[in-house]
Amino acid sequence: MVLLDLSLPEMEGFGVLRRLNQAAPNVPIVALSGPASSIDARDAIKFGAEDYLVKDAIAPEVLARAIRYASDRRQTREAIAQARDSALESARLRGEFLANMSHEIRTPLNGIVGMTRLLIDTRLTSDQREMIDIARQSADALLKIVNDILDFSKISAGKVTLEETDFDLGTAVESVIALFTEQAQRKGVELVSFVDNDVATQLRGDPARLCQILSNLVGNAVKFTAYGDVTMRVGLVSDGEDGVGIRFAVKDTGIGIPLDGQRHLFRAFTQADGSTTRKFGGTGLGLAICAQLVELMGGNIGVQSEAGGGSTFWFTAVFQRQSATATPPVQASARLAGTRILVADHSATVAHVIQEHAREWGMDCEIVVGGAAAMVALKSAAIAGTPYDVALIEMQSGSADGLTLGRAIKSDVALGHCRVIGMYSLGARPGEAQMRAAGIRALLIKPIKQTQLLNVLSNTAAAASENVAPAIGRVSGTSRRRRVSELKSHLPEEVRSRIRILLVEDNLVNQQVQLRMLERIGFQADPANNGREALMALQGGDYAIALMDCQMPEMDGYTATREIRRRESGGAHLVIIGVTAYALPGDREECLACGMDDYLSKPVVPEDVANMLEKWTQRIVEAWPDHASDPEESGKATLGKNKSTSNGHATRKMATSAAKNQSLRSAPLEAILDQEVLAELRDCARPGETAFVSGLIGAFMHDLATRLIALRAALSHSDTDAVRMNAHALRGASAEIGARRMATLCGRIEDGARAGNLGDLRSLIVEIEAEAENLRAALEVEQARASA
Amino acid sequence: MAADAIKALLIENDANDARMIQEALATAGGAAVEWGRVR
Repeated sequence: MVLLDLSLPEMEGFGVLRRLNQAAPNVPIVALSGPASSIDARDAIKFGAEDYLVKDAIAPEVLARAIRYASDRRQTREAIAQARDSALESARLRGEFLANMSHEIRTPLNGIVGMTRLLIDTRLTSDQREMIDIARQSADALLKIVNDILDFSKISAGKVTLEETDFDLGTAVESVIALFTEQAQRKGVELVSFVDNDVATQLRGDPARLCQILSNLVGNAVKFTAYGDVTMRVGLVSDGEDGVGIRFAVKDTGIGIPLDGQRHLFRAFTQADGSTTRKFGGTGLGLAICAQLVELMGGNIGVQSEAGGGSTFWFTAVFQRQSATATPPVQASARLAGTRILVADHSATVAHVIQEHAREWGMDCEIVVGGAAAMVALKSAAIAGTPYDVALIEMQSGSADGLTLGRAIKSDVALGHCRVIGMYSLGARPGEAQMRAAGIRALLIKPIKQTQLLNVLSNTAAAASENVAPAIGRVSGTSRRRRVSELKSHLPEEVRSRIRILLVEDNLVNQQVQLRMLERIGFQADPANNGREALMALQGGDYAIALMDCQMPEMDGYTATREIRRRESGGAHLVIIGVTAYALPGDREECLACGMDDYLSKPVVPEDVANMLEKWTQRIVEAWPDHASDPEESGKATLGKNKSTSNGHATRKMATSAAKNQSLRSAPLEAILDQEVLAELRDCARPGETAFVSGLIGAFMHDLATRLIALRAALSHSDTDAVRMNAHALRGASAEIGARRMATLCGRIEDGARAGNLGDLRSLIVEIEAEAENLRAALEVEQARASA
Repeated sequence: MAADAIKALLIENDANDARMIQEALATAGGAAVEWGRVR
């Protein structure tokens, strides 16, 4: 302690004060002054004195108190400085730790992400692909979280700005649900999402940050829910010039949060209960980041919960509509109106969400729990004259297995009208043969996605209304609306001439039709009869695209594709478009899983082929080194055009199916030989060429005769594979030539053989032979007309 | 009083004032005060 008189003879008092402070910063100083300079004395405080006193007024207790206070103040100031230094040091260490830790985590994570990406390119079943895809998505999400930890300081400092990009709300919601599917299903927790019908889904905003908030809330909900379900619900709050206000709510049946814990939830580094961190993990940062992001999105965040009673975390956010907001969210639902559907699932939440969707789409939907109740409901409805069109059944409910229920429905004559769709959880997909044997037409993977549900229901309903198996539902000529001659590619000739196509197809009729179709569209193609021939052709030729039939003798399309990909081993990439007669969900995945780039279903529709070739040619051209000099304008215009025709085409196909079905019943001859298909085949011929169609008919009649002999022989030897192969081949050829009823009959034989059920097929072969006679007669008339 | 535990240096040119301050401190309970002049 120094008591310093400011009036000193040799050195001015403030100068002494400054020097003292520098020499002994921890020693408190009390300045003293005479009455004349008392005003100056106040300035002593500025120069570092703790106090000042005017000497005339010094009473002993005043002096003692000044000394004591000065000493205390200096100590307090020192303590504060130390605390500040240590806080700064601790923040610096924490930042350093976070940076180091995120680096340490990122290194192995990058390994996981990289290896899963490599794994995706190997031979995988569709189930495996799905699992590995979720593994990859989860690793990506984790990587993002690590980055978020680093981001946290930025957000806190207000240095984060939101992106403004176009996105689809439905896709965003479904991608978040997909992230937690595996985790939820492992715990037996049902995960459900529901976007209200009036919510616009084509929005502008920051989808990554939205998904970050949703992931956090859904992740927490799954984490804190031991049994029951987690439901994400998206609803409209406001829709005005300022944007679209949307409310997201994630409801769980988990442990809940007591009221006093809810207050701290949205603050950084706090969870409702300290022990929560130990039991469930988590940084405690998540909700704080959510709260900050929600604020940036112009919304609010909150929670409703009680201990043991589950929680609902909700937030609102404002998005902009996309400038050219296109289609309303569910256009395809129109054809579902009036369809009757029964949902059998043990989870009331899942069933009710499906019911809500179905009712929004105009369907008549009822719910039951368990296989026995489902059978009762289906039969009662059939007896009452209001049968269900579709039964959506869970494949592994506790009491009744879905396959058993499927078989029971299939074997019940009264329920012949009802199409069965199975729902299964990840990793529990039933085998294809079992599924077909149980009469299950399509599968949906849980958690049920709104778009997926709509697609499967639409396809199934369309197939049901045509009363043919979905796989051959397109035999109807309505799908071939545009004439082949109208489909000439808009791509420049110099581009098309550089694209060589290999057409791999075992059936001669299909081969000829497709070759000619390609020619008329403007592409040159060479044929190969099976996978083995395709491999040989590829060794000798520089092909850009292969149209690859999936089912072929000697070597099928899947095997050939795998072999082609193996040989390419990262080098030049042949675009392979799979062509398959099956239209089951999963076929596309199987095509893609074996390395194909895209997929077409049979019978091949010229317009689809044209669109497909335009799409892939455009991509191939973009990869050409001389692409810059290509006439971009024409390419873009063509792509745009194709897009619109493709959409319109799909809609037409659906809308006209019922009308077509009507004409099928009223004109049995048309069912034997579809004149519209024949007209299209004639359209494939070059101008003035008369022999094309009669040549095709000749080839088909020959094929028909040999396939029938082979079918009979295979049946008498009970050779299931040969029955299936021949029925499949004949079905494809029949569909191609427009022999719709024959295609349907062959499809039934093929399905029966696939299910290993040859017994019933022997009576079917008699039907086929009778139909073959009708067909021959009809074809002969056609041939005569063509040659005339 | 806490001041008695404090060792203080008094820098004061005026001897009377220095004495006055020392007495005041002694009255109040006494701090050990050394008196120095600035050089």
